[in-house]
Amino acid sequence: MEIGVQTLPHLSNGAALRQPDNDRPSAMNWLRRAPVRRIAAGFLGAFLATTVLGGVGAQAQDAKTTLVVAAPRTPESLDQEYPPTEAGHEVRRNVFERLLAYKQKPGEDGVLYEDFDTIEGALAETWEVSDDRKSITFHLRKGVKSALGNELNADVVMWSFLRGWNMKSNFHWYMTQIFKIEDFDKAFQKVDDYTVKVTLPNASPLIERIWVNSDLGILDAEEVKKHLTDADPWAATWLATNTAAFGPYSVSKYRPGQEVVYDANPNYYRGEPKLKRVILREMPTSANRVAAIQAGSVDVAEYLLPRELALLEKAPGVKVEKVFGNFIHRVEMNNAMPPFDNVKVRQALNYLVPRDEILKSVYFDTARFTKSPISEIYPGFTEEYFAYANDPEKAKALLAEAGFPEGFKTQLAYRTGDQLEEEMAVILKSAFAKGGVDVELVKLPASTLVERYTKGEVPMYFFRDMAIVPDAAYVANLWLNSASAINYSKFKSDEVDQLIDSGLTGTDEAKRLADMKRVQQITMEQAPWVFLMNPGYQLAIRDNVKGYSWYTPNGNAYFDLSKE
Amino acid sequence: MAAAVANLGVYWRAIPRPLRIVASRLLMLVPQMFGVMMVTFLLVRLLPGDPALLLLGNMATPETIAAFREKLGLHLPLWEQFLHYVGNALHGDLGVSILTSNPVTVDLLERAPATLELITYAMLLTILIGVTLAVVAVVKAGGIVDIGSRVYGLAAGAIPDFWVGLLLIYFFFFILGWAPAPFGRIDTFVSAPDTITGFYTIDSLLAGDFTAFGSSLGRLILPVLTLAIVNAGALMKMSKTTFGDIYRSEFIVHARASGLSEGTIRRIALRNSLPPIITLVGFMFGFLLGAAVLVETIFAWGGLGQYAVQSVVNSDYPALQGFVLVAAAFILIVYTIVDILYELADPRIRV
Repeated sequence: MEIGVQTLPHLSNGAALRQPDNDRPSAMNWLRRAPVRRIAAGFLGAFLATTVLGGVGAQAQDAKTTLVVAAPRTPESLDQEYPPTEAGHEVRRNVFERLLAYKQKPGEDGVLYEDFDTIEGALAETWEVSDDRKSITFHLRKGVKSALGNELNADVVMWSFLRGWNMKSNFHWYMTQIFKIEDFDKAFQKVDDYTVKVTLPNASPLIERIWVNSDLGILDAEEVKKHLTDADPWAATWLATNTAAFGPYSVSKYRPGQEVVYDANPNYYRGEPKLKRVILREMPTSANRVAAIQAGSVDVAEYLLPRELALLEKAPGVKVEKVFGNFIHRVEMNNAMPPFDNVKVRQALNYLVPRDEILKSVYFDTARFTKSPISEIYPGFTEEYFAYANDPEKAKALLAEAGFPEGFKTQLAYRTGDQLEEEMAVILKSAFAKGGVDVELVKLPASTLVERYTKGEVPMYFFRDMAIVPDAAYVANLWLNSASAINYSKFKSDEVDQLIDSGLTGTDEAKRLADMKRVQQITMEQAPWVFLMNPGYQLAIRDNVKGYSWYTPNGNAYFDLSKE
Repeated sequence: MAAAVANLGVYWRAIPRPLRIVASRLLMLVPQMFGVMMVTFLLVRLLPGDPALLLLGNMATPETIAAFREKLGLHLPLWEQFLHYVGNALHGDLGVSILTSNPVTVDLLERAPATLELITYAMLLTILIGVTLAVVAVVKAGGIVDIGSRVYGLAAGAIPDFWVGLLLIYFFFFILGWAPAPFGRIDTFVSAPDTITGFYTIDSLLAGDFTAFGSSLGRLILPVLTLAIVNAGALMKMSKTTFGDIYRSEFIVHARASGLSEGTIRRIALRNSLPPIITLVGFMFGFLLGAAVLVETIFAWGGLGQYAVQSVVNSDYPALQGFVLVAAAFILIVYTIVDILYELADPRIRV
């Protein structure tokens, strides 16, 4: 097709040129003799050749370099300072490049994973951490250009930091909550045109890891500064719907609720992406995403139900990538609310869960049991302390010891529209009834549910979350530290609190791992949650899409993908 | 004072009747819209749920929550929020959506034509199916169409639209492969025409872009069919009763006795049964805006309905208020038009 399209105009040109002068009258004769209809047909032919064939040719060429993705929803904002959401993480992964990254390593399943033990330079070519682990110096890669062609240097990085600090959102959260930085000017310094130094008030074991996070991308400050206004000194409005950064893609079209178009950044420091254009279409109904990928209308379908994935695995032309990533799906109990303030009650409920049944009938074997509060893929994870087999007799005995031989009445809340939670809720209701626990199921819109469990008004609720920093102390701090704002289950153990606090400041890696093992032991014994499943992350792709990779924020990295 | 009022009355009556009808109806719209704004504002705030907590997730700390609330203006007292809202709304500023980061006005302007295009065609097809079936069923009483329409009339009220939509997708897209992919208003590889009316079918024709026209028309088929199949039943039943009564009335018997052709008789009967049908069509047009919510979600239409569903689930207050405002305005306008038509059509109604 390509050849045909390219040679057609040449052919007609060439023919005209080669025609000797004396032949012209005959050409005129032909014109005079030709009926109008034939001329019209000629025009139509020319029109078809140029437009229709041209279109097909262009599409055939595009097909290899354009990826169409079916997503449940378009990102809420393109700004990395917007609160973290699954769709937002994906934008960050593809648009913003960070200072550091994990080295990639292929897993046994052919998926490219991050090697959490090996950090590499990204926008920072090299870096040094001081011996006291209180400061880190980044030496920027020279000659790196943004999608718009502006160069990376220390001023650009410093301005990105400054904006992040003043936006008082994600960057600010990492710097103040994890690094305990209080004063911007003391912490962030430009050393020379290509060197930036960050100094923390205390030593931190996470001083390198945090800079891998996709929320901490470097902005193309030169471009962003063009969009500052008096009312909006950090271009929050402009960056919400536009991108200017050093990542592999830039967003050329952002139509929330409909589609997002990513265009390859020709200046990307690791080379121009193989996929030149990625079109992400919002398709809220998962059954439609399934139909679309089966029909080949899209190349990738995100966030499908386990039942649909089981179906697609058998479908021709489609393959399903499965990663047992960092999500943890559990039922959190309000540990401060009777009867859940009694550890025996919490343990009893864990013994009542028919995990095998949930795995088969709800997850179609795409999940694994959650055997620790730490994601199984992260360093420091241990499943040693998981003892909760399905044992109704033991549960009854524990309930009797706790003073509830006849059981009790309680509520379990789940989100409207979450089919998996609804199915699990029904199974749990009948399972808990075996111990005499009478559960009322409460279905609430997501925002209502969050508000109610934040206020401690819900006895039990489903909770599905992941932490993007692959560090056991970081994860434990989010969910298990009694001082954490998102420890909604109100779990409190003085020993756990103390171990986490030392894990966030101590730099002896062996001791940190031992401490986190102890934290997992206490947590499994204290059972603040009903441990359910690691639902994993799955992606349905057409079988000509290669190079699938997985990163902790679970969003897809289009740079790694290609089409055959 | 009384004289002034009487004078006003004189002037008022001096205006021609049709203008009087239109003017009084339009004036009524202003307080109605203000009422709608106030009620929706308060109702939306009464909804449980907190967008800040939902969105911040792992990042939720007292400071980030406070900063987020401040950004949304949620830290102000309710009455102050309302005053801000009305003041801004008068300037065409309905706030910024939490879920799309776009000004709500921009979002609505982009989505309203999508929904309007969908429900306008759905309404046209509904009328076509409903009225045609009714007329044929009455004229050929006891025939196949009559019996079929009874079964359909029973079923149409009972089958949910999302189910019809999914079935149509399954058979016509997935099994048979006749229908275009059921997502969005236009093919992924076809660029949408420049906005003139916002209706892709009309804009693409105006631009002379037949690829876009074909694609957008194809994408309309299944969702329009879904809405029409579900809603034509009610219109058919109503039309059948009205048309049937008139078709059997004395003046039609008289017309037939006078030797008028059957075609003419049917036309006369249909014309006389139009007023109640127009009323129902007006009502259904408003109703379709609500009915489109599920159908839009299934077909990834990117219209107002999909927007509304997401804003409710995520407590996106500005977006939700904007949607209710637009929906209310749409329904008020449709009803106003129906009222005006009705008053114009029936000279017995006093203004």
